[in-house]
Amino acid sequence: MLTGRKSKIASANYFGIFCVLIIMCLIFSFIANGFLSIRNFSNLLQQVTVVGILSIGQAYVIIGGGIDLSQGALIGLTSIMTAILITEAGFSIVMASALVVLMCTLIGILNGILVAKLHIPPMIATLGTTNVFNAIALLSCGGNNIYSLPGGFAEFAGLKIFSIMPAIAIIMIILAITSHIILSKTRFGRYVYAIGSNSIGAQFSGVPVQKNLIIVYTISGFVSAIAGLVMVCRLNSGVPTAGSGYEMNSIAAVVIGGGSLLGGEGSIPGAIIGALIMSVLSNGLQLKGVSTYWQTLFVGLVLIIAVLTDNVRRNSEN
Amino acid sequence: MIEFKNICKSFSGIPALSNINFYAKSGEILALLGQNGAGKSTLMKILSGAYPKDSGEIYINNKKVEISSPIKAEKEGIGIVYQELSGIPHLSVSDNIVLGKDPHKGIFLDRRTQDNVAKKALKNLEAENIPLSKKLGQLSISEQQICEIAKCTANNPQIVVFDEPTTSLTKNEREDLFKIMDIMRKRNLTIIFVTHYLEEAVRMCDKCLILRDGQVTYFGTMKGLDEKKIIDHMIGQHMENFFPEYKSYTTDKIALEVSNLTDGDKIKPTNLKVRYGEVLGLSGLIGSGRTELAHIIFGARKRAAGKIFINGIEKDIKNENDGIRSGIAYINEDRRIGGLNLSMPIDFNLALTSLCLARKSITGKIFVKDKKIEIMTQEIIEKLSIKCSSTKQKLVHLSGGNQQKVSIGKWLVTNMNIFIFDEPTKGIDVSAKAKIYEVIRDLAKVGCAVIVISSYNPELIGVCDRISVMSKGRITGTFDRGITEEQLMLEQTGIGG
Repeated sequence: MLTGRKSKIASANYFGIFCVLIIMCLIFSFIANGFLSIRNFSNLLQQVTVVGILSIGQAYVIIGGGIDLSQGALIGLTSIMTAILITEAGFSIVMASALVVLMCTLIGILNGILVAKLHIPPMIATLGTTNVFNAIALLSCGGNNIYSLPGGFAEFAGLKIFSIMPAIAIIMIILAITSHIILSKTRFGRYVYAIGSNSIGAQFSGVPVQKNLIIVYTISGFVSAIAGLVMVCRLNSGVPTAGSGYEMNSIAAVVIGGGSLLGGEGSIPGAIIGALIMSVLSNGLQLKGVSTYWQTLFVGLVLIIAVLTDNVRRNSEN
Repeated sequence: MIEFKNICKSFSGIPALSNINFYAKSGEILALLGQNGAGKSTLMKILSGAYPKDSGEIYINNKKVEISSPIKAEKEGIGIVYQELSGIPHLSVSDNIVLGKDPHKGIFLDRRTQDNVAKKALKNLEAENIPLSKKLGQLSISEQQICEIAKCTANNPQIVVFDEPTTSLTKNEREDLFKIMDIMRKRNLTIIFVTHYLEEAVRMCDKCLILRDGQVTYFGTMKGLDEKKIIDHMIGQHMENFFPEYKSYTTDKIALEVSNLTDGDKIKPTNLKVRYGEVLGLSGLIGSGRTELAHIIFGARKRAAGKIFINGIEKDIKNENDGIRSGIAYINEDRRIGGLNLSMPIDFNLALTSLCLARKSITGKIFVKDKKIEIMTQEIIEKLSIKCSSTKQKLVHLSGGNQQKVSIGKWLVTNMNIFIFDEPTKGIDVSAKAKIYEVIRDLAKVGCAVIVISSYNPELIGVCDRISVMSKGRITGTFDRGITEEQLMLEQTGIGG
């Protein structure tokens, strides 16, 4: 039954999915012209950033046994609020950014309180806040996009280090590394896994469950704001519906990366790999000239297959 | 009648069952006994169609059968009553009994046939008095169990397996269950009774099958066997005594004192004292308030009034975290829900509470010390003889006894002063039990104050220095070591005065 000690990497639950990513890249390198190029690599990183950043926040929440549907709404809110603060209230880019980050963090706390203190099921609580903040985003601008943003955003979006690495991707990488260390090396990280796998057990073990759950949702809110700012840079405008549907992609990324909606399972590297798989798939298919409708279909299939294989792995473990 | 001939089953080359032979006739109760890991559950799973057998033959009424799936097992007349009650509390008794095979006419449910089926099933168990339309959740535990059995017997099985049905039952509820089993025996059913409680097996069963390491160590009539002999067969060596040799370690210093503690509901104002080095038993029927009292002390249940003193200092314990910080360890009755993170590995579980306490030995200000946790985990695995493949093994893959050792181990490493064990040996095997008794006495020896809650009187008598009996939310009496099982039982049921 026991087949000796597996290496740490190979036993990590994202190892399989990492292989899938590599294989996909190999296949596209052969079949899709222009896939294997520095320019495309850099494009790909740019494309993955928003979902990648969101999936980091979503990973905390899903590992903690919850779900955060409000991420997409927060992107829209961030996008439009930043634009309004700059164009109408005359704030500087930095000031406006800081304010929206603060705002989304507070919304994260609100989500956390609804779930942890008021015991509303996470899906319902965040669905509720999604609608509320979607509406606020649309109301605040009368439903219109705001285009006349200062040049700083677009410049930052185009900024590349050594002409390969997009600056916005570096934000994602920094967030990912910090979060990975937090989840795997700190007490708070252990608490998140403990709460997700059995919150009653965690409570009896002395884990302050409510407090830590609130922190989890707060992180997701904070991270959504960062993703929203990246979105502002990429679109160079304030769009109230900019994040629509993104929460589903971040959930998919976490799940493809080994996360379980039952909680207690998942990881940051897994989530990022999950986000990359979806981006590589779209990017490769796009280069092959496959329509976006088909791309969506393939992403859906990948999600289902990923979860199926994971179930098989789990059953074989038993 | 059912017969197993030379049944073998192995997992990845390691034999789990080898050459199992036994039979049980109609109107007989067969006890299936063995420690955890002896092969009882594998045998049951072959019988229920959950696992395929590797070789051997199964006969029902002298006809060879292949039990390839749970549905096939049911068709061949095998019914199973599981350990946990699995009924749906919001549905009516009759709904529950027919669940999964609801009689219907076209697309509509056929209520009349349904009620007739349910009525007949209950009548066969001589339990017509249970109202069909009442919601299951409103019935007593005994009645719920009868419905569970009725659900099984409604399919007219010939062989009924009881998989540890008495684990969470009180004495009276058990008696009710045994009555039902007797009725079923009289109706010529073959019953296979899986249990950890040997005295029940001796009392109820006609035949006995004992397994050890996947082999039959005894098969024959129950006559002539007693608990000691059964244990010899189960463990393969003569186990003179479960309990460590008794020696009092009780000191004069009071560790925990509660005065007029109440939740304003189930627990009436209660006083209690435990000294360092002392093991206090909390005895009583299920529902007498033992667990609730422990929960108030630990902080898991709201305290309406009363005071808790630790080392003579009053503590305001509002939640579990406060309880732990006051030095109280609480090993939950239900380790699966209220104690362990089953989907997580052993080391994670063992370290969790110590991490919550920010114990410097395993965590720095920011980072957790994984190497120290690894060493600590190995020490505990060795100390409690936890059987596992590595420190990273997930708890779901461990046996109940080993899980329980982990749930105790996580508190041992916290160096608490006061330990509350709630039903520490529920559903675990003999050798794990003996280990847990040893741990309890050892804690007393190193000067901890220990409270043991148990429904199993022999173990309270075996490990405790004093035993308090609870009844209806009150402590009705406290007895020094030397009280007999009979006295304790009388006190619990309120007859003792």
